[in-house]
Amino acid sequence: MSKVAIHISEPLLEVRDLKVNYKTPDGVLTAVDAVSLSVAPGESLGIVGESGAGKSSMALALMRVLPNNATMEATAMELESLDILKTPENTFRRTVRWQKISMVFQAALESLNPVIKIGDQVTEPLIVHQGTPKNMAKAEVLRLFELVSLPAETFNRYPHELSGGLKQRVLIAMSLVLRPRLLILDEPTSALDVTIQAQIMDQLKDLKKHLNLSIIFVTHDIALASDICDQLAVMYAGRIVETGPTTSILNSPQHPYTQMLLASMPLIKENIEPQFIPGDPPSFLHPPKGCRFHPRCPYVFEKCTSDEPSLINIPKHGQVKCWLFETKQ
Amino acid sequence: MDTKDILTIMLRSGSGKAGVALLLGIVIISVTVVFLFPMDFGSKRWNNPAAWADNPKSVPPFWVGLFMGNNSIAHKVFEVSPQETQANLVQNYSFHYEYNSGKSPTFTTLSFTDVTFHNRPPLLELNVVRPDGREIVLYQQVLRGARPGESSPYKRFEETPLRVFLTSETETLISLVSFLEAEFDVKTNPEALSGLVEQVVFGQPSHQGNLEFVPLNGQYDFQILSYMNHPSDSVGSLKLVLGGNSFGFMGTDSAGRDLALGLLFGFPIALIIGLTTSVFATVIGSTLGIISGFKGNKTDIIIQRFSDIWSNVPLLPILIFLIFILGQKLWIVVIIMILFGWPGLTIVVRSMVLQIRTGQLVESTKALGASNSRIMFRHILFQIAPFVLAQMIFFTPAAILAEAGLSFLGLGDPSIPTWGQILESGFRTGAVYLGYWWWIMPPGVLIVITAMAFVLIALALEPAINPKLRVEK
Amino acid sequence: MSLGVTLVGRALSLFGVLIVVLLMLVVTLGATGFSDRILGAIVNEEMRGIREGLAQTIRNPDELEQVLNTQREEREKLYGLDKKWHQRLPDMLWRLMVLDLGEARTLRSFDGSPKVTTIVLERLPYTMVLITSASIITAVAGLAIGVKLATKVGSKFDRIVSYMSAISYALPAWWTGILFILIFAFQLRILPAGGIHSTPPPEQGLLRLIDLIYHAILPIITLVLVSLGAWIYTVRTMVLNTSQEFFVTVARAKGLPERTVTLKYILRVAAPPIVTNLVLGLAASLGGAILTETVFNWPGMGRLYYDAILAADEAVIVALTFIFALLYVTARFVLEVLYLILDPRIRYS
Ligand SMILES: Nc1ncnc2c1ncn2[C@@H]1O[C@H](COP(=O)(O)OP(=O)(O)OP(=O)(O)O)[C@@H](O)[C@H]1O
Ligand code: SF4
Ligand SMILES: [Mg+2]
Repeated sequence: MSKVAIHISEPLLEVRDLKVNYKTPDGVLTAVDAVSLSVAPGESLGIVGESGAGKSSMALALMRVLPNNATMEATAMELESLDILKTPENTFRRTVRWQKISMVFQAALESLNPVIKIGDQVTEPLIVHQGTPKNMAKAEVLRLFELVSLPAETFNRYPHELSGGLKQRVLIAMSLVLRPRLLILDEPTSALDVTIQAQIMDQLKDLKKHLNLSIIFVTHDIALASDICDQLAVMYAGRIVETGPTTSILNSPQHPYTQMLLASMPLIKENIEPQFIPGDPPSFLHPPKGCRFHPRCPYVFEKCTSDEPSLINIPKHGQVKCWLFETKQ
Repeated sequence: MDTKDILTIMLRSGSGKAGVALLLGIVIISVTVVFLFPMDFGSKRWNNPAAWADNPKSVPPFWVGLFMGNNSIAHKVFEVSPQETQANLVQNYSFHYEYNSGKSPTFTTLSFTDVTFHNRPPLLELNVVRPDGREIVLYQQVLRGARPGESSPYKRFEETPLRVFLTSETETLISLVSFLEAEFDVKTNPEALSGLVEQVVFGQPSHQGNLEFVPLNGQYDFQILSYMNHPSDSVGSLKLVLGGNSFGFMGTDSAGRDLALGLLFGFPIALIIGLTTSVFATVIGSTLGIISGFKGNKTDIIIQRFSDIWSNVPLLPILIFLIFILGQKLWIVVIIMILFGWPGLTIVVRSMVLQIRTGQLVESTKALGASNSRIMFRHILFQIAPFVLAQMIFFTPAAILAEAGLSFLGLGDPSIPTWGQILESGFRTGAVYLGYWWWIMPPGVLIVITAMAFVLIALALEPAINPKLRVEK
Repeated sequence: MSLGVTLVGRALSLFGVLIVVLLMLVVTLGATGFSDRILGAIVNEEMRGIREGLAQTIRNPDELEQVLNTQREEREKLYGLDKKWHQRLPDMLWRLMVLDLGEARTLRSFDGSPKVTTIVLERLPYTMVLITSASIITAVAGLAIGVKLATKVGSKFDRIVSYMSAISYALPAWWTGILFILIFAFQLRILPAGGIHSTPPPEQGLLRLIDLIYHAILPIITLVLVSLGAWIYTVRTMVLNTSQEFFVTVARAKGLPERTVTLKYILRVAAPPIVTNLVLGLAASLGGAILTETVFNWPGMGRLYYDAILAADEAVIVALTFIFALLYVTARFVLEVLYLILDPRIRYS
């Protein structure tokens, strides 16, 4: 545990029972269900899960920028003790978005306006939120560009003139212009090749140290997450199935899904063949009854198919959503 | 996305249902018309003034007459075709006409066809006995005898009938003058009676000695007599027409043409124009687009340059010019529209092909060893098919509207009546200013409905092609 | 620099269009023998004048004929009638290009000149007035309604407008015009049925202008109505497409005011495709103008087409076709420049 987490008791972000629904032509699907999480100042939380687990939906919900066909609800959503669930849209926009929470979106290549110059897009939050004069905003942005190793001439480029890696850096720089407290990174490197991925991860770690940022790091790659995160939350089919400190989750995964996820990771050092998780991710429209993982779980027993487990506290570890742990408690 | 999905998406929407229903109706009418109408309807019937001579000119549909009450006078045609052999030398046909209106018939004509005689020509006579018992001889005429060099039997009026327009026939006017003098003590002359024939025949002076007439309702007995001089003389069909002030389902134009027939004939023509043009234009356009996108290199550059220039030629001015110079033929119009209709599609299809080509499907097929042309036409066509189909449907009304516009400028094909031409003749002869709405409205409405059918279907297809537009219910 | 290259490329391509149209005109005219007839008519017309002039001075009929014959031959040579039509092609092309369009057979300009260039060009302003005012109204109304609609996809309002745009796509301009004449000029009697001025036209300048506007109302409404629907639908679709792009979500996440999002992230991005559609609709609106002028007896180039067809005046038809193509190509070029300014992706690639 980091020192910071110990002496500041108040969490930066606290979310209780977040739920995101999408209306589709075939019915309503719940992409995020009863997700609770908390992030301490300066701490970083990794959200890990396979594709379609609902990670991005959760991230978008935190910024309240879900698509039109989505609705969200929660019992609580607080940022620095400020209720950000019920804040009127306009206040939320002016005081929270990008200033307190900013985000690097998964679709890096589509995140930039194709007809506006990079510089204008990156300085825009400074000018709109803080009224910074243009030239000062530019100086600030150029400083950030240096921080993420972007050449200064990028400022006058259009998005289509940049490579994917450069765009990703632009987005990271843009997410930092207002010095937010919380940075959400949604698969910030998945569109990039391995070398650039490593470069960007290094830079992110640097930034985290220098700026004392809290980070929510969303990825399907548990190894990547463990590289930068203090805490991990494993998501499966819209639910968090296991949370805990990175080290204990890596060393002693409890939930069957987490175990399989770790086993599926290629571990170059140990020369073990990665194990694929059998079966398909569940359908959101017609989710399986009981534990959502039960059709793929090797430990499945009767109760799993009828009742859904709740998160169970495991001392010195975290929480696990699995009937196997009910008796142990 | 396969064809079934597209159909489902299309039929799920209201506009899709409406479009398909409309189109179905249009197709059914067109097929019926094709079976029932002669192929040369345009030249032999529609544009042949003789075919419409006996119809009232520029009158509204009969159902308008139903609302005109006592001011309505129905169109009446009496016709007989006598048997070949007649025992009598005098043939006698009579018609009963129940006259019951505040208006007199708008005109009266009498026609004979197929007169055969051997030595002296027959005498033809038409008379009428009115409800008040008075009798008028309306027409009495000995046909012209043998021409020099002609030999018996003499045949007359085989092709074109002898058509007597009693409304302005001098014989009739003279006969009416004496009738008025004898029966009502009205002294007048033929000139004064011109234009009053029907009022005299079907009425009586409002008061003594006056040239104003009030209708005399009741039963009129018309009698047509032909006096022959030889046992094998004969007169073919006879026709007496009492003109009305409304006619048929859709009224008539200024030439007396039954607009209902012209409008019906317009259905298959519109479909043929629209579909031929759009099918050929889309086939050419997408084929060239696929070739261009697939072959790349020089072929691509040439096709693209050409399409770019070609697609920029403004259609209507060129259509006007070419049709004016080359002649007013529908097939030329269609060919020109095809010729100028394809390039837009080629450009779009090419860019779609380029996108697909870099995709995996074709790559994997290539790996399996399929031949080049098969890859081209199976896989790429399969993927762009929905889009091309939508374009075809969208292009159909454009072609129909373009032809209609051209016809409206007076460049329609005279041998094939279209809705545009009906409107044009109405516009040119001032039907708009005279308020002949039955002439102006229906062809326009039909053009709009037909175009709508296709537009609605295209509209319903759009979400299938562009999923971003799919609307959640 | 590459912007310039792109522009020159577009200009060349559009110039190609003009050449294609020109070639089509002269080849069709030549191959069908029309040009021989047109030129022959001109020579005959000139010869009549010469004969009248010479008849005064030369009394001897034989001598007169002889002089006239040499004159005629000279003239035929001058007009190239002694050559085959394809040998005359370059000359004809050149004459069309410099708007040397010959003389009309029966049609005359407002002050009686038979010169085709005069006849056609004096009509140009009337056509421009109709087309430009209708286009501006359509563009503005279409943008406003289309953007509004895009925010209400699936609503009743949206569905109604979608259907109305389908109807307006299917409405031929000329029939709509006729309908309007029937309704507004003959039933309600509130607007004139056609022409540009009342008879007699008002003398005073301002009243004259008002009278002109009064006469322009119906044709303009007609033109607007028949293109507005498709235009609204295009704007709606483009805006809808763009508003679902991910960078719009990013803009919202950045905490930008909704107005900025709409203007900078939706409309600004949707502008190039919207302009593209404007370009694509240009030919249609030109056609619409030709027919609308005919219906409303508006003395522009479109109505002139109708008159020329009725009078079978081929010289005027040729001239009109070429000038319409010229007009189209020019408008098209202006829009393409606009497009290049709007879309950096094209500008620099
Ligand atoms: N706009 C939307 N409308 C309907 N369903 C959606 C929408 N966005 C996401 N979903 C559905 O919600 C579920 C969760 O999607 P989400 O993008 O949150 O997953 P994810 O964990 O981020 O996956 P990935 O790793 O692929 O990004 C998926 O089943 C997805 O199909
Ligand atoms: S609850 Fe049952 S099915 Fe679900 S993870 Fe635990 S053991 Fe497996
Ligand atoms: Mg995601």
